Amino acid sequence: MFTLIKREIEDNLVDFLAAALLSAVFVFIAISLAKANLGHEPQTFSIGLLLVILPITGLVFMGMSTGQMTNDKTRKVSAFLSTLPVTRTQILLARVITGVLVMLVLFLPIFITATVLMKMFISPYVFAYHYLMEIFITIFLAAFAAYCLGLQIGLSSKRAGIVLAVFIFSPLIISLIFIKGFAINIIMLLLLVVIASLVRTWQKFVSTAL
Amino acid sequence: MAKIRLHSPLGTAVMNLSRKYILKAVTTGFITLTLLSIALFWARYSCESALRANMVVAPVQITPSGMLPDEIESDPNVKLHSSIVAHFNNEPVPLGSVDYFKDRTIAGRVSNTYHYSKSSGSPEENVIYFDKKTGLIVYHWTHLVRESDLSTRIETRNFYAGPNAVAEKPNRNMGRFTDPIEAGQWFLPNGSRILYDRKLRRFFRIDFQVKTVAKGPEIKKDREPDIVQIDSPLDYGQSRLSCEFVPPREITPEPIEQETTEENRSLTGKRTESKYTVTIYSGSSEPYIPILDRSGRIDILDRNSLEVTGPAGWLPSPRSLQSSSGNPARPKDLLAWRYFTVSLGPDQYIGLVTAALNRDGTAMALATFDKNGNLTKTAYSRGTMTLRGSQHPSGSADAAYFGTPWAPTLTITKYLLENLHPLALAAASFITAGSVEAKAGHSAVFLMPNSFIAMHARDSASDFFDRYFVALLMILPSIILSAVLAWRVGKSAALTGLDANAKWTWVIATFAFGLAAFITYRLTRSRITLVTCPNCGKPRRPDMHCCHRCGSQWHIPEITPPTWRVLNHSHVMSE
Amino acid sequence: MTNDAIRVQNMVKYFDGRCVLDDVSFNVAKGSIYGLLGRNGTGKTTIIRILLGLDSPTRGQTHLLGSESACLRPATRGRIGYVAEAHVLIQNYKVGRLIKLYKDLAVNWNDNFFNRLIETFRLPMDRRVKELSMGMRAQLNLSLAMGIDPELLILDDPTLGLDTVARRQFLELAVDLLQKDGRTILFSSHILSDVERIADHIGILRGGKLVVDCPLEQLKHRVRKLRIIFKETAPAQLYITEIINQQIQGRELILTVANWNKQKQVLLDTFKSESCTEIPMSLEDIFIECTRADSAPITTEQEA
Repeated sequence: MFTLIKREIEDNLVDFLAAALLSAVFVFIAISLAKANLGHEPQTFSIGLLLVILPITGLVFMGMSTGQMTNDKTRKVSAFLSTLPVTRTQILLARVITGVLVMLVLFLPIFITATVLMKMFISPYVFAYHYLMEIFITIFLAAFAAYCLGLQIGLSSKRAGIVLAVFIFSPLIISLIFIKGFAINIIMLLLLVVIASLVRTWQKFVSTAL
Repeated sequence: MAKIRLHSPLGTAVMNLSRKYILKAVTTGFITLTLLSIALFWARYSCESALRANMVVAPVQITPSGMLPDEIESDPNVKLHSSIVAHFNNEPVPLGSVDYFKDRTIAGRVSNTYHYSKSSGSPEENVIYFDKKTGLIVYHWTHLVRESDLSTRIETRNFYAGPNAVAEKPNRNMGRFTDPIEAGQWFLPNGSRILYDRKLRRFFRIDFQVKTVAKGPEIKKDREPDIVQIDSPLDYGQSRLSCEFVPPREITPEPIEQETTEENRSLTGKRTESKYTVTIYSGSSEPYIPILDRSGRIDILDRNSLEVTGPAGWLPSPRSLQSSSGNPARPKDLLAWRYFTVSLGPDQYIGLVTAALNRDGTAMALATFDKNGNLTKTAYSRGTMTLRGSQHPSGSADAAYFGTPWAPTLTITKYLLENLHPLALAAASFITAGSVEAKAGHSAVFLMPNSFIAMHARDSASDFFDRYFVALLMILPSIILSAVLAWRVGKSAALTGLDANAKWTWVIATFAFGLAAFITYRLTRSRITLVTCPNCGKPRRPDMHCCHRCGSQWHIPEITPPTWRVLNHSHVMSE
Repeated sequence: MTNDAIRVQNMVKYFDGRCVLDDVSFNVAKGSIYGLLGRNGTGKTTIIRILLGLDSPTRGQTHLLGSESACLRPATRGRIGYVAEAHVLIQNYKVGRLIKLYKDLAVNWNDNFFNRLIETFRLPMDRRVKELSMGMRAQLNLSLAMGIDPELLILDDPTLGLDTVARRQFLELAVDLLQKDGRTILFSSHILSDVERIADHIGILRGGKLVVDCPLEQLKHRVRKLRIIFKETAPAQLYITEIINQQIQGRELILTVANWNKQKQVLLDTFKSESCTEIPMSLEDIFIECTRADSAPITTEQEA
């Protein structure tokens, strides 16, 4: 299993670098905004930052997962790996774990920065710090849901359909955050979407001819 | 080709609903339903926002207010009578993400911080919050103290208030608050603040300056008002609805200068002084605090004795598209509300003013009540409807949906979008119409609390027949669409070899979930190309052992010609 | 329970409504070399892919080393070496990286044997797979499959792209492998001379059906090609069953028959032919006869 994960990480190194770069950009923006908005309520720069981060992350991660699956088909990676002593479930799991790691590379520095900035500039009486954890979990799950949907879409063979689906479905799933906010109800809904997508992807992946 | 009916051990062809297939259908169905619901949500939200944006919103006015004594109102010097003016705007309803932050910052619905102030560039800070762990109200302040040698030091003090006492250190004897609701404005003239604890069923007045807690009498269970708000409204749609009392005055081109002295200044109320010898207080005037309960009733709390008197009035029901839901309107059915007391001087309570904005933000009602809580006057927002080329006055909700330019198109679009929603969810919206909060309803994805069918469900004036028959008519397009899709699915299912159980399950699911189920069926159905059955000549599934139509197996010795084979187990050549 | 390394039972495969494999059944005993033959498009690769779980049959079941193909466990896969047609490898990997990946995932790995193969084939470690020639890719593929010391080796046209010398080396390796107890090979190839050299069991696909499935030696005995000369015009109908092919040219009849036996001999004798000689056939000849499309007896104008 570790070998498969290592292989996926090496194959998707560009994604890790891109995530790190994007994270650095967002951290820089957050610090600049926090300095500029010193004394203001957190809504001002938080919502502004979220309006930028959310659509980008949805598109990025759905694109990443569809890219992973289409590359796999083009390069016949799974076809090769399936003849080795691994199961298709392990191949898919390694892929998903790699996606999760990319997400953590992107979000964790932003979350840590946001927590530090909040502690520096905003009193916990104004906005309690544990809400930040809720926000982080929601954004992470939304990105993960977009990623899982992308895995499913990427199993389709029609390239035009894949591109169209990415541009339609990623804004839809991310817009759920704008509709519902960051509370427990959306966390549960996103969790269900993630589980449904992963189960469906797994079913499709293990039964598809390679 | 002769048809041969075979009675195979497997019987007629069946394709069992395997667990895998059920999982496939359920997971795909859930994802499809979610994405479709989100897309439909945005389409409906756009229609509703456009309908609101197109509204021509005129203020609602009650003139004369009817609250002042005749000797003031009928004064010959009065040129403009007293009036109550309410106004609402048509901006889009903020969604969950904005509400999330609003509810969690200072004095938000979910926040435990009641008050917070901090000097810019200075460490001085004042906070009042409810500490859930200790069950105490905490007043924390940080203050810069200037010493005699001009140096400064930071002094921090904490005060803890429980139901029994206030102290600088928490202790068990202070008791514990469990579920407090605080009044919206904290720094009252004498520095005290009011809160109500739902579990203890009492009002409390906490004074951090003199370190006392006053307890009101226990509210009897049968009279329990289930309070949702004390005094000024929380920041809950208040930018959307405004309401004020305008005192009587002479007509002058210049505004009257109003002098207010320090002792008369109330931080909680708005004090106006006219040129007459009458002092009118409106807003949170001493000693009366209005309290609102879940049923929409407003009582008056005596700030000194902490006893509840009343009722002083209630929230009026705006005239929505379908007939009004009856008075009083419940806060959960309203998008915004306002209320305040009107007094002539500190002990002369003369009445209550209330205003309410309906669920979808298209209609407003204004009401005044006398000092005994009797309804005196009401007014409703108006609009204009264009019928057969001529304009007619109407309720603002009717005008919003049918009167303004593009309104009929947007209304029909909204109606059709609602009918694209699954039938089961439309029925659920009908059943749950009264239980979804107005504000939360604007962020509902699967249910449609602001749909026409939900509006109809909330119409308490309709009888049984009217209620259900009209509801069915409202979702008739959805029923027709679902029936057509279900028929198509049934046909396709029979062709692709699904057994009767599976077929009927899909038909029922498609009828209940409409477009979402149809799409799910198309995504999950078997893509195997059918081949011709050698027995009956009709298309059959190649992955099934028997034909699902005639039941024959693949190999029919009677009609299959023999071929040569050289197999290991066949007869051995003998020389 | 079973001594078979491979079991195929009533396998049917359709592609878009077209039947590619029609009720194919065969078993490959442990320790045998099974040559699976057929013309292009008869389904050899499809059978192999289904066996390895890369595709699923429309109907029927397949088993490898006692496990169902659809649910082969990693431990079982680790005992199977596979060389795919067109050598499916990860093209943009360097050879060294691919070998390391294979090694890390393998259950068994025979480093000495593998290194010997690499040295023999002289494969460059730092070149990408897509930059290798077809033959080198074949050698790499072969080496990887052999490196795991497989109990079962499945080869789909493994010598495609190999030069004569490399082909001979491969055959020797295959024999070398087989000398170890219990090793089994299933391979398909278009070079029948290679098959004839090493296979002990033959399967021939034709029209989606397995028309031949027997030991090689038996096949040569059971399929006979006879040249019969009659006194007068050769009869159009001999009333002999299992005729694979027949050609009539005046008095001469060339007849290819499956499962030749005494009964058929007796039947032929009733026609009182002038002469009847057997034409010896190699595996290639048998294959051509078996896979030729059905045709009616041909009569030439001269004899009419």
